[in-house]
Formats: sequence, C-alpha cells, structure tokens
Amino acid sequence: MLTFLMLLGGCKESEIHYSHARHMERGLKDCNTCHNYKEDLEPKWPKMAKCLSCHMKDFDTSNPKSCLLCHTRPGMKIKVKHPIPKKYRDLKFTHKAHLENKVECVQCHKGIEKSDAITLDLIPDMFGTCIPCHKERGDEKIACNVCHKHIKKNRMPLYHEDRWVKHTDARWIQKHGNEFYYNQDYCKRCHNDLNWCVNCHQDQKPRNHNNAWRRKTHGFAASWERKKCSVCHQEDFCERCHTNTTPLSHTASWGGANTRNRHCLNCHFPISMVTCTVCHKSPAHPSAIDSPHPPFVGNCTQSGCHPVGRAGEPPHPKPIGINCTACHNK
Amino acid sequence: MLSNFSLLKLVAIPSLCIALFCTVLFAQTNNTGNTITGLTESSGFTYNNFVSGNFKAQYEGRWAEDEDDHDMYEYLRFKTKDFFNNKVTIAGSGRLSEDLDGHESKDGAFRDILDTYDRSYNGRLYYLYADIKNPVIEQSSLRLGRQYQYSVETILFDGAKYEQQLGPVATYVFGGMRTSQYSSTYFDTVAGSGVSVRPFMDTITNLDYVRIIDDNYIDDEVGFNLWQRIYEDLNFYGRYTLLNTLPKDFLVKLSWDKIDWDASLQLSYFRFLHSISEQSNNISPFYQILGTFEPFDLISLTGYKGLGETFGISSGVDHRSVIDKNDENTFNRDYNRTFFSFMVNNVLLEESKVTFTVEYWNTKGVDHSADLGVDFDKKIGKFDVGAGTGYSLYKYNFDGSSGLESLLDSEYTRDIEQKINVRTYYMRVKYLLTKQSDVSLRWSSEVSDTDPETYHQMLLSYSTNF
Repeated sequence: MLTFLMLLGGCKESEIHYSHARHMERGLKDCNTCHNYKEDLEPKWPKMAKCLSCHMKDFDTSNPKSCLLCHTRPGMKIKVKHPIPKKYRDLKFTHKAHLENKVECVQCHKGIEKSDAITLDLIPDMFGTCIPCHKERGDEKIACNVCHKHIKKNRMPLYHEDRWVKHTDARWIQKHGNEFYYNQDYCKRCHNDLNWCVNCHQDQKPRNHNNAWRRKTHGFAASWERKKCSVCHQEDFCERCHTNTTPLSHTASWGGANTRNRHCLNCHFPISMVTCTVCHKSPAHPSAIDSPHPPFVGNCTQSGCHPVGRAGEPPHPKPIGINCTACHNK
Repeated sequence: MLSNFSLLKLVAIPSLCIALFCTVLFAQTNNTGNTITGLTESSGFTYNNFVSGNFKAQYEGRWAEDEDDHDMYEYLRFKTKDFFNNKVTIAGSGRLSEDLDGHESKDGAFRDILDTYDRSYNGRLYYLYADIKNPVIEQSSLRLGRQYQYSVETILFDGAKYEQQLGPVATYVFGGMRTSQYSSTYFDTVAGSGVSVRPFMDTITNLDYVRIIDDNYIDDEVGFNLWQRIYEDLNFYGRYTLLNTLPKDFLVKLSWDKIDWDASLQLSYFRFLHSISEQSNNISPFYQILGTFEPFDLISLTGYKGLGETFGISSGVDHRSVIDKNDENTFNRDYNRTFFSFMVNNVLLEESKVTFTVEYWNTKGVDHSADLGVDFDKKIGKFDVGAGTGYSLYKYNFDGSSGLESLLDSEYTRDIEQKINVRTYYMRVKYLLTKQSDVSLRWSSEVSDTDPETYHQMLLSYSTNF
C-alpha cells in the first residue's frame, strides 16, 4: 500500500530537459535573453519559438529523436507550465517588486547558474533565502503578510500544503501537543529550531493544570492516557515530586497505632487498584492479623476497625474477590 | 512558608526586584549599539542589536485559607546575530527561580517540584548552543551545546548535532550526554541519526534512529514516517516505530482538508503493539511510575469548520481500547473522549475573542470527567484584557469496575465514590509600556472539592524584548 501511495504522487515529473549551466557556459548569461522581462519586469516562461531561435539547426522534423534534445516524452502532449502547487498560491510575490528593488535573479534563484535540470531546488527557500534578505531590510518586512495572502497573525501556514491551521483556535490549543507528537516536520516549517515549545511552555501550563490538578486530579489523567503527559514530561519529573511529597490520602486515618487503619482497603479495594506502586515500588508489609484474631482490649467499632454497630463483621467487605490467605496467615 | 511574613512585604519585594531588573535591562539594551561596534561590517553585518531576545521577571503569590506561598521567576532567552563571517550564532534560554518564603512542608497545600530541591533558589538551563553554518561543506550545519532533539523520542542533551542537506535528502547525526532538569542522569548517553527524503513533490519520508544508554539499559529505537498526498485535498500520514527490534507502535491518519470551505476532517488509528516495562529506559512513558504500559488501540475522528471570519467550530471523538481485557488496570484503561469548541471573533467588540470549550471523558473504571470553559480576550489601546472561567468535574466510582455494588453502604467503601468539582475564574490585564515591553497582572481563583477548597493565585510580571 505504501508503494502504491508513493507512486500516486510520483507521476508529475518535469517534461523538459534544460540546463542553465550549459546555456551559461555558452555565453547566455543574461536571463532576459530567454525570459524577456526587461520591459514589464515580469519574467516569462520561454516559448518554443524562443528556443528554436538558437536550436533550429538541431531540430529535424523528419527525425522525432531530435525532439529528445529538450523533451522527455516527445510522443506525449507537452505540458511545460505545471499548475502552480497550492502552497505557492498563497504568495503575493511579484518579480516586478523585486526587480524594481534591484534584486538580482541569482540572489533568489541560488545556484541556478550551476543547475542541470529544472527542479524544485530552484524555487527560493523561505527560510534560507527570503527571510534573511527581508530581515536585513527591517523587521516589518518579515511579517508573514508581507509575502502571504492568508497567513497572518491568526492564521498559520498550511498543514502539509493543504490545511489551514489557526493556531489561536480552541481546537489547536487542545490538539497541538498531539500534532507535534505525530508530525514534528510540520512544526519545524516555521519553528525551525523548535525552541518555541520550551519558550512557551516554560511559563504557560495547559489550562487544566490548576491547583486541584497539582494536588489530585493529574493522577486520573495519567491513568487514562499517559502518552499525553509524555508530550511535555519525562518520568523523572513525576518521580522527583512523588518521592518527596505526601499524598493527600495519607491522612491520620491512613495508618498508625491508634488510628482507624484503612490503608489495606485503600490499596486493595478493588484489587485492580495499583496506585500504591506509584511511590512504593515493591510494597513489602506484614500480613494482616489472623482471622479470626485473638481478643483485643478496646472498642471494636470506635477504634475504626469494624463497621459501627457490627463488631462481628470483618473490617472489609466480604467477599473481597481474592483468596483470604493472600493477606492473612491464617 | 512564613506565617508572619506580611503581605505588604511580599508584594513590595518582588515589585522592587522587577523594577530593578527593568532599569538594568533597559540601560544595557540602550547601550548595546554604542558599545559594541561592527568588526565585520564589511560583510554586511553590524553589531547594532547584536543580541535579541526576551527577559521576563514574574512574581507568583498563592493563597489558600490559612496558607500562602511566594516565589519569583526570571526567564531569559536570547539569540545572537550571525558572526565570524556570518557563520556562527548563539542561542540560549534559562530560568532562575527563588522561593521567597522557604520550602513548603511535605504535605503543604502549595508543595510543588521546586520544593524538592535543597536550596530555595533553582536554575534551569533549557538550551544554550552555538550554530555553525556550513562547517565542512555547503548546506550543512553543526549545533554544539545543550539542545533538544525531537525525533523518535524527545531528548535534552549536551553534545553535538550535524545536519547535511544533499539535494532532496536531508540527513542528521547527533550524540552527547543526556541531561534532565529533574534528576541526575549519571553520564547517560544518547546518539542517533536520521534521513528525510522528498522523492516526489507529494511524498515525504523520514527514517530516524536513536540509541539511549541509561545505566544498565540500552534502547534502540527506529521510526519510519511517510506523508503522502493521495488526491487534491486528501492526505495520508503514517508512522511505524520499533523498540529494540520489537514493533512498538504504528499510526495511520487520513486527513481531508478543504481550504475553500475552511473545513477539515481527520481520521486516525493508533496501535501500541507490545507491553513496555522494565526492559525500557525511563524516557518511555512512565512505566516505573505507572507500571507496565499495555497494548491498546486508539481511534480518533476530529473535524473543524470555519464559519466566515467570525465563527469556528470543532469537534472530535476518541475511542481507546486495551487490546487484552485482562490487562486493564488503574493505568491501562479503555475510554471514550469527546470535545466540542466554538470560537467567536470580533462580535460586538472589535479585536475580541470568545472561546467556549467542552470536553468529556468517559473512562471505564473511573466513570467520567467533564471540562467546560469560556475565555474572553479584548484589546483596548495599550491594554490587553482577558477573563475566563472553567469548570471541571471528575467523578470516579471504582465499584463500577469491581462488581462490588453490594458494598456501597459500607463506610469502608464510601470514599471510593467521589466527585471533585473544580471551578476556576481568572482575569488578566496586560499594559504595553513600549513597543517592546509590557507589564501584566493575572489573578485567578479556584474553588474545588480538594484540600484546600479555595485557592488564589496572583502573577505580576514584566517582560521586555531586546
């Protein structure tokens, strides 16, 4: 399936052989000779007649192979001008504005004088070519809407050329962590060093990270989907806090000599609960007292061991779902 | 916490600190252009504004019933212009924090991770590196220093990363000592490499490898990504990862994006394939804290529709299912999640924004949680004001998964059925002092069913770009 998908996108190849390098070697160093822009400052795709003005001697109508000098598939309909990819449709770029400001062709089309084919590399790269030059011309010249029609403060670049992402909408605020997790290349388009993540998150927590979250509810979220936590946190963050902080549940009734000791039930009820292992890696504790236990002095129900008014009943529900000897020696 | 520390002092000290920092910083910023003159002006570079960045000083005060807590934070990030023949730039980011009133006790209401350090001040260096352009050949770069690497895993390390572009192929290799803000990594090392190829206009593939050596664990992870445009507005994204030669997870995602309609729809399927536990390093998701991470699948459907420039709605559902039902436990659960958000821009008030969101989790064994929030933002001249409120409900009812309904009346099981309501309210005001600097105040209050029930927070900050 992957091969099929790759092939689907791979049919649009250039259908013209053209080497700027060779033409320049032969003295055609003035771009205007072929692109004819000096009058209206708008470079044009050379038409075949323009090529033939030099190549007529190479062109033989009786020999179709002579077409191969320029064309890759002479028997097919020639489509020299490719439709403009969607990602470029957002540009309000004009050659005229650049030529009026005395920008040389090779300043943007870097390396074109050495190129042997018409490839995507000849199109100026935004980060490598446009931004550095615009930056030199002042900060206001690198605002997104200087070059883009739609990309502006509230409207961010296309997602893989096709989807507008409004970074300020609630959906994006919710999902951007996942999007980053799945596809960092998208983020890297603008946030090229990805320091933005740190710069923003170092002092802006997600909205739900409130005080109740810090005290209690973050545990639920971690139990539902730990992968969401791992977008920002690594395990040592949790460990550092949990090894130094007493959980809210560990109150006076949690355990101790004269308290209502309920910690057995808090851990083992229901039996699938394993939250104690967050801090206690290998809980090692003495077995519960024998059942029935030897007579004690004191009030069975007021001490908190047995249900009020039901001294004969066990201090835990029955059945608990596990073998009694799992806790009791006998 | 110091109970006798007066509120006046606590507000006055941070304010003074902020004012002092502002004065110093302004003085430095103004003088930068005059004191450093261009050594390489011939190559078109001047040292005027050689360093740009941001400095922010923030005071945080928290109050809850009879307790309070007061901290200061200073953030600095910067980046230099190119120097050494326009080949080198340096960038850095760090934070300094001070606990103004000493550490919280172990069961204190405000105890957080900063209270786990020995000292009352704490520094963090997020990144500090030098970028060298074309160190060997053209279209290459070398980054030296502390840096983040986002590949199969997100890693902070001190070391080097070399990138090389070769036509349509981008490659990188990195290595160094892994580091962490929260623990000592004891010479843990990390290394990796990757290649990204765009063979066709509509195809991008990536292959990433990382090796993490963490004490006695050595983990090798490999990730393969493919993005492919299938047809005009239909895209495919896939990712497959391996951990120590075992398949780890895969994701397939289809997205349909209709720009002209300002609409998008995404459907994804993620499958986590093998349990992760002790055989893996501690970068992988929390096995030491949360136990073995069991295989599951996750199906997600999300949609977005813009309604003109004014309105936008988005919604989505997630369904997570643990593959083997015997693996279900506290930290490996099935759930359904739904969210809906509605955004309104510039209605009634120019430059205003109102966002309404609701999120609902239905988690097997925990019952459910819901989140509801409204935020409002508005610019008025040099002021930027905002207000909002949120409500969260966590309702958990463990008996639902234990089959012990008959025990509901027992006082021993009463605590397992709980509801936590959390209501938050906030307001903030930001005032632009100059084009590059501002002061802001944010106040938030929270009422919840946790201890303490009421909680207030004040953030007072000064920020300047330079």
